[in-house]
Amino acid sequence: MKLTLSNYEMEIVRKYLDREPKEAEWKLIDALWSEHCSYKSSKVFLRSLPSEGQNVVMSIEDWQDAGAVDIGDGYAIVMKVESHNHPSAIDPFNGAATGVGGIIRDIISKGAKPIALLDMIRVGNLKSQRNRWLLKGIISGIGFYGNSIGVPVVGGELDFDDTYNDNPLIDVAAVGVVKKDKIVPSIVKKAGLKLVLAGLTGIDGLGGASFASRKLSGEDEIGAVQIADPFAGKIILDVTLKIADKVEAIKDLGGGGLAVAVTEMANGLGAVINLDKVPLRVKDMQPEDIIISETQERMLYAVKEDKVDEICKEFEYYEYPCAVIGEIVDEPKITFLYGDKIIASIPSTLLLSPPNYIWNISSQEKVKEGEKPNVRLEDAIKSIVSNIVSKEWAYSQFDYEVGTSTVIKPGDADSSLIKLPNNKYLAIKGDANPDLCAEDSYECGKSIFAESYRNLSTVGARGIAAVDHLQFGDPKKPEVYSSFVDAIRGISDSARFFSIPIVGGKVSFYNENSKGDPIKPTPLIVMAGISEKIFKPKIEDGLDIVLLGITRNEMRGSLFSKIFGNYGKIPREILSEDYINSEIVRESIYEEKTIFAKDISRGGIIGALWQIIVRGYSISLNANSILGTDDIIAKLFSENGGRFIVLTNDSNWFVNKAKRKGAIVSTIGKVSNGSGLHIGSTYIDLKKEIENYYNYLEAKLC
Amino acid sequence: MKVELIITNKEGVRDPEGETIQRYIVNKVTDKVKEVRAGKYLLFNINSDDKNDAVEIVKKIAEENRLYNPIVHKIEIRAEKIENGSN
Repeated sequence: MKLTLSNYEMEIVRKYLDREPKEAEWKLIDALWSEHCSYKSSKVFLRSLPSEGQNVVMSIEDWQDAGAVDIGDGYAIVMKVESHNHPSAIDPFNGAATGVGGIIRDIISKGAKPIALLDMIRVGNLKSQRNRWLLKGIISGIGFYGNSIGVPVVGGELDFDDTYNDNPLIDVAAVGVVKKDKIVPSIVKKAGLKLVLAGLTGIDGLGGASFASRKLSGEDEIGAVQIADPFAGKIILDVTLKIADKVEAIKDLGGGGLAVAVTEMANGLGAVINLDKVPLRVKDMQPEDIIISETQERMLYAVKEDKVDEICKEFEYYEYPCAVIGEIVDEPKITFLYGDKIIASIPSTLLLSPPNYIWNISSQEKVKEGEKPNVRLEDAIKSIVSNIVSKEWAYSQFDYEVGTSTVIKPGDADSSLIKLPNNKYLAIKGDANPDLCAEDSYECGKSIFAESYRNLSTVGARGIAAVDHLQFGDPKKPEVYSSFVDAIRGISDSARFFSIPIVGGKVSFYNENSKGDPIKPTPLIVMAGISEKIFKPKIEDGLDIVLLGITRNEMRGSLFSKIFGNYGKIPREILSEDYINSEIVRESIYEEKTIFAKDISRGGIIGALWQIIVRGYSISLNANSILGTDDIIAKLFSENGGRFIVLTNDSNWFVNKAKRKGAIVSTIGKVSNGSGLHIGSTYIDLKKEIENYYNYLEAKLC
Repeated sequence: MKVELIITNKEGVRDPEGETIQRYIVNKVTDKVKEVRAGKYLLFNINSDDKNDAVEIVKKIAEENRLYNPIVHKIEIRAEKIENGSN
């Protein structure tokens, strides 16, 4: 029997129960007390994130599977972020596909219709064949599942860094929409409800030492492999939405299987489960394996007794297994029976309150500023733009238009835009910045939140809610834990500043390479926002390029530093600049003054202008108009926050607006037809780099 | 040589495609079918007269270029001479 419980934790259990638990009971406790399900190393600090707000209908407290926010007109959106890092490292196709399945079930467990998926993928260096194989499998897995069940993948990120060589990060986020008064909870408040389980339970997804792995090949990892079944996923999706208002609570079966789903749903009440009633895929499963199996495409419903037949009838139509497996009881104990035999019976309180840990903290050493690398300007520009490539190879494999509400297709703007049923538009974007986080997690947490906020503004939307995903190495290493706490502080500061609640999230620790080095800290923010106006970015010959914001000589953690050697100051996010400039950009879109907007992030101003050049335009840039620093490298490549470029016919509008709001804007150049960059008296032809932009991924992978 | 490469999920690993075909198609016709497994089938026509050599070539392609995932799938390789005299 392999448990992750420490001796200290086992002592707590023995003391509490005043007896030695049975093997099945250990497994039950082990599942609930695992880092994955209990957040025992992070919970203390997660409580410090702002999760309240006037629009918040449902937040992260009490085991809710996802957060919900009011968007007006009687509707709410539900959002959630998840990762499938470890399974995808073993089996990229099924690992990524089941990640999509899992996040979809989180959304429908609130009775919400999933309308959009985002995928944020980080793999190691594409020079390695294994990483290329991983990436191909991950992308086709996401496409396979998302396309099959008809939820569009509307955006995401795709990034490569040696830090992910052995440990890719596969984050998926989903948004659903639901009538505000129809939101279904994941928890019950009274005893007497029947527990109904849909789907078959099998041996997939059992722990490493399970009977599955023994039966297969002795490869311990097979137990972690789960096979994606989008056909079943689609049935679960359709039926769940159909019966949502006939049930009292819905819970997705994810990590920890029935053990976790039942315990969390009972929410402090008790439950009695008859394991012999659970529909099985394989004969002769051990009762304790049924408790912790993590088979996909299963849902648990709490149902009033007189509605049970009605619920299972809906599944019968699809010949999908559905059975009453137990009920919620008053006595606060979670009991699993097989026939009349008690397999496990543990008090709810014990299961739901593992010891929380605050590990040792040792702050990162502040690094010296270092030498500024000596690079020819033209070489620098060419290197930077060669590092920013089109991701079309990936998203062309996704059906991003299914459901026909997608307004902006992936890659066309800094944020996705989707039509909502109340005639408003939903913008959604995910952001991370591992290179900055490796330098300063606090500034990084602040900055990724601000970047998401800016990204939404570039399509005219104002952020209303966010979810976070905190991905780090081993929390018991003081410098790792320190960067984790710092990132939370940074995210909290930003979230409070913008009054945007964090309505859900996820923590993933123990992301390390085979040598035991932690990944660069990779917290990730997914933000949703609302716009009243449809906006499709365009570029035309002759437009002015207006820069909003102050450019600062803060080069550490930038793409320039990554390529030519790390140097300079750490960027400090000045949130009021993000706030004011975002407001101007949104207003300019609303008044139709801006026809294309881009926030300034990776690659600095050159990185932002590059997105215009690759669409078939030349740019003449006047570097003297870039205000805030005299250093030409910083002018072009600094990635400090708070800034945008917009394309407009009316740069005066911006000048006047800036005066009224206390912002800094300047016209820094013009767009014309072509394929290069005029800077001062130099012309840099970028035809070759443009070709690379469009072909890089395909050439690398195919 | 004609060489067939068959890739299926290992015994004990689920095969949703096979299950679905069985449940929604096969079982409507007969109850005699105990299990259906779906997989991927590739046919190679190889310039070689030696059976073992031909099998090795296909094995190498499958393993080195990751035509399958050894953690999840099993492969079967079958070779036979093509009887039209061409090779």
